[in-house]
Amino acid sequence: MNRDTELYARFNQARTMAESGLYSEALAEFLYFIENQNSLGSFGRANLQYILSEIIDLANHLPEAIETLVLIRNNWEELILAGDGGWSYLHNVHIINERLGQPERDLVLLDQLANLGPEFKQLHQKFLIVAWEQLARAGRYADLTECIDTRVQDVAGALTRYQVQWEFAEDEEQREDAVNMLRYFLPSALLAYKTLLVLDKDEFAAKLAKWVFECEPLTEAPSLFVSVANKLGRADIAASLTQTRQSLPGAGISGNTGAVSPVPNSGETSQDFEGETP
Amino acid sequence: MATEREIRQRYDQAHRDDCAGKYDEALEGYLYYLDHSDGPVRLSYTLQSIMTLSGVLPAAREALEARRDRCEERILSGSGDWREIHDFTSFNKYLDEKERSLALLDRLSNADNAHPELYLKLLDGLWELVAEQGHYEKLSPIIEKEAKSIASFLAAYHIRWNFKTEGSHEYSRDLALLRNQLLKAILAYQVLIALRKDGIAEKLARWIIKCDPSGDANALLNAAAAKAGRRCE
Repeated sequence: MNRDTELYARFNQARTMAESGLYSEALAEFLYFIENQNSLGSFGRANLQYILSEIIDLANHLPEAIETLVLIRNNWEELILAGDGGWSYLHNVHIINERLGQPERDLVLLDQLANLGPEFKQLHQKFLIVAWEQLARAGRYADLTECIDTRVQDVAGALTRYQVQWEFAEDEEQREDAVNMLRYFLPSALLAYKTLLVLDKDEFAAKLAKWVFECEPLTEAPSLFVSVANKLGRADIAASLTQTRQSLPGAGISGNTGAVSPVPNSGETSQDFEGETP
Repeated sequence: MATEREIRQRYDQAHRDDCAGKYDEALEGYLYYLDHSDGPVRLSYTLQSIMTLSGVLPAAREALEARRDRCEERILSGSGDWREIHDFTSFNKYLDEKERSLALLDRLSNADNAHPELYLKLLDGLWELVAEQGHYEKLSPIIEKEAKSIASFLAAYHIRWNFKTEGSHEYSRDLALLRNQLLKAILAYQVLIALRKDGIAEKLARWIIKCDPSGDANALLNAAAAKAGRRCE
């Protein structure tokens, strides 16, 4: 049995403990993975999000699970600010903040890193990438000038990946899963689109919109994008979006191909982008 | 047990030794990295560096051959897993002995093969070689899954290129990656057409046309269909 297989077995055992009501024992096991993640190789890197999710779920029965998680997060923040925590710590802190519903904490850490001098510049730039949605939601678009292009590629990439999954789905369940994931990423796409327009990156904004419009199940996307453009006072862009939509195959087809409810992202839902047009 | 960071440091040291002409030390460091790391460059730059070293240090090639042979033994004995398969095909690629991979595929394809999952995994890693040899039927169990994965990568490469500024270094690099992926997609289309899996072939063709930056996709698809013994409608 290789190391990863052993670790998976141990992780699954911890989940079984939690399911059996052995909450304290399960928490201790999950903490083992967190405390030793740097020596757990690919398993530690690949599964941290799941482990954090398990601990957060445990908190329904064991309130100290959240307190423990907060202590771990605070400890990681201290390590980062002392120059002893690298990229993985930043990512972990972000995941915990997201799962605890404390996204503003990312921005505080980001500003602290910005004030720590040139040796923290690289770390600051990496954290900008991780926390870009928080920055955009806070209206701090200028902070995103350098990194938004890469984020847009990631969002477009994720949407396209699920569009492919939708097209090549072998059954209805796979098709529904793909539609759910497309809807999961739609708010990020809208946020990226808004950021691009605010930063006058109209060409990339147009490309992003085209990719999203080509995701067939997202029939609601064009009107949401038009709404974003209108809210920013960009009637020219809104008109151009309408043209883009009409030029694509399937234009004029209404109705929801996937027929599933939107799954909200951790931030906005698509509905947050709907609204009055000027 | 060494951490991933310590293992990476051994690799960096090996690279410095290599540049300084300390070839024995460099080989030792590269092999240590190869044997202990899960890192992303393990089966690319590391193997490339070892084979470059073999030009001045024959022991480098021998070390790789020995590891390749051990991999093969484990796969044939059934104790290997997908990592072994990946290592085996990568070693053969850099040793320029791809026929060795195909030979193992043939051995595993025997009716009495007790490890069908390893056969499929190996087939997955070698599908392009098998397709180029025209052995389309062999690819029937995996080609649909392969087509989906290829379409996904094709779209990803297209997006990477599409969001770059024309004229930049990244633009040219990503265009080359996209073209490479397009060739792979067209080969998969050829296999699908040969196997008369027309539904999936059509879906893949749509992505090929959508992601083709040159406008040559239709001609390439027609040529692929002709190679597969069919005329494209």
